[in-house]
Amino acid sequence: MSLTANALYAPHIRHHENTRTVMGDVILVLVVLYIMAYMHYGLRAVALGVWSVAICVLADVAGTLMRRQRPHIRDLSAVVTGMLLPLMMPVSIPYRVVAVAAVVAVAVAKQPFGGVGHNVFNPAAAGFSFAAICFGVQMFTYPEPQQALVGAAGEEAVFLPVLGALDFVSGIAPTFTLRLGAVPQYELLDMAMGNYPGPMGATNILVILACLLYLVFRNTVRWDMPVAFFGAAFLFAYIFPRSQMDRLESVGYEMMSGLLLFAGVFLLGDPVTTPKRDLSKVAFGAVAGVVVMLFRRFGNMEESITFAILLMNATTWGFDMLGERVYGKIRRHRVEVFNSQKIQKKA
Amino acid sequence: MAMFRKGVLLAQHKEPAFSKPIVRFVNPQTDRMTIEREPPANPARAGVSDIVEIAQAAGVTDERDGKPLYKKLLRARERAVAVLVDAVDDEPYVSSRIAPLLQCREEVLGGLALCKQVAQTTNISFVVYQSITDQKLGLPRTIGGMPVVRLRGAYPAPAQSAKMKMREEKGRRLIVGTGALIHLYRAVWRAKRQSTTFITVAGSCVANPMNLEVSIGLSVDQVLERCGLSAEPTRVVCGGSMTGIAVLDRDATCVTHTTRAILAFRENKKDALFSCIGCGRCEQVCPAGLNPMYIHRFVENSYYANLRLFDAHMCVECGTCSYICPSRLTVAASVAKAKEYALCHFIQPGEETDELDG
Repeated sequence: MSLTANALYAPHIRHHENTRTVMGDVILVLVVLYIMAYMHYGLRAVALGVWSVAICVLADVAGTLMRRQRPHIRDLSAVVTGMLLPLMMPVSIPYRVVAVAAVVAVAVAKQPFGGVGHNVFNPAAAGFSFAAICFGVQMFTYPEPQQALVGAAGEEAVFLPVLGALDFVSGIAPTFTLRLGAVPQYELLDMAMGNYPGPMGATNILVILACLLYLVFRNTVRWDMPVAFFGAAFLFAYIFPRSQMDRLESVGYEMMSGLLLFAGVFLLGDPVTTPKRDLSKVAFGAVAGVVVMLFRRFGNMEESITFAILLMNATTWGFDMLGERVYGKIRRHRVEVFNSQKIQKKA
Repeated sequence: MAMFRKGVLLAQHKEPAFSKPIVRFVNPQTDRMTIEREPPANPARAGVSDIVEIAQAAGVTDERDGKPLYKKLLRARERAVAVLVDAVDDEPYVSSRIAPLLQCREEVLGGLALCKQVAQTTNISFVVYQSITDQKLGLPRTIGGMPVVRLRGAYPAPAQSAKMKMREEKGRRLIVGTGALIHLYRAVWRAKRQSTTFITVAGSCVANPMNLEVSIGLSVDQVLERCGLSAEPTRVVCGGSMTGIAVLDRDATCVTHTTRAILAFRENKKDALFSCIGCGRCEQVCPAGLNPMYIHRFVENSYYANLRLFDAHMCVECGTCSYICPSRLTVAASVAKAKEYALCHFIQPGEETDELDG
């Protein structure tokens, strides 16, 4: 009978869910978002996803080997990072930009810290931020969805070509309009259906909300962090509208434009780079919501949410320790009450 | 819905062992041993000192904690206000206390009548764990006219249940296991020494899972042979599936008074050894409200000084954190290590609590 070191310790039964099923849940909902992107923009969206995943996995394996450890592709974390990256970008993004973002995400933000579970900063957010700084024009030029386009050779194509030169009608994204201090020209209902130019995976508001619901019910994402995050962003948008419009309208545009919803679900839903305890999660989410809105208001970029999230990631440890202090007080108080009851009974 | 629940509700896997009749698997020589004391003329009216002396002579041991029953009876005679019969089998696969309670009811009630005589109280109840979903036998409301208290909720039952924790008579009650009652009855009525104990043999490798009454001193191998193995197990466990000890040498490990189960599992080696992804599930389920993830990380990196904040000494060693861990880490072992360290370095003697001694 061979026994590994693992086999010596109690408990001797384990829950059926493992890291792969946790990551698999996220991958499942991301696949749904890719299907939506395919409906809006055609095969190029899917090709970008495959390309990004391939580079992330390769970079992950290379990084793990350089750390002299055995690569575990089976834990699927690199696949999630790879799938997240293109969804935050416009479908017209050149492949090389995706490649650079993917390499930065894995080789700079993840592997040097020790790989899965040890990274301080969210890899996808880091990769996106790097690309946003270096390739601002390509990153923030959004094609109109579902529009007849003229291909490079002159023939009319419904979707963007997968390879080759791109020639497309770009739309004005609501994030851009809001930053200028104007009111976006899109109907709020249209935006909820995802029918406006924007990042290829982040515009399907209703689908992302359904994804969030699924992840919460699967216990992959705790409900308290998204509630606190969206609540804080909602309040901020309600109290300080960016342009001349109705307060509720401002809330609608702010919540549905750009990456806010996507980041709230997928970037803040990343368990590694966010606090663990419920209380610290709530505090973290609320502060993150305010910071994100402040970045939007005073930032120079059209989409600055990933920078705000990277900043917040750096504070995760602090939030965890603060939460632990509070929980420690609760624990000790409980024991004190119990002991005093026992002493009274003895007396 | 897992997201609203604190603690962890385990799939119990008690069938088919639970509803099968208990089988005797005894060494005939030790089974014939009797006590060399004159049995009382009328066992039903035996005096208190008689009962205590017989319990001592017969070597009756409580299977809950391994203490001799006569010592507990002596304490109970002085200050007990209640008698609780512990049949809480909250660990999966194990039904070695609840099954004798249901199947050897007369003997349990006979032993309980003797305890009642010693403790001089009418406040008697049975405690069982209710959240068994796969059982075929129903749990009765009363046994012999005495109420059956059902613990609900997640594992571990005693820690999570306010009923057990906050009862008025805390510290002044006699808690006995069903096996000890049966052996007390046999000692007084039939002058038998305790030479057997009730155990469950189950697990994914056991061909015929069942509850056995086995002689103390039989080896784990013999017991497993009696029930048959359907596959070569990778892990054999002495004790419950959540808190038991892995058996390294099956031939040299024996059944003792406190053995509750012998389990044999075959595991898939492939899903092991991921690294922690910080999902925080261990913190969500910990019944003591600890933070096993950070404790594990500090122990792994030997940052013991940082542990002061984390109150590792409050750990109840239920193993829930390891159970839920999606990365299959040995979190519970790290927390146990941290607890040992904290009790040595951070806690003044007398400061530790016996909050959850049930």
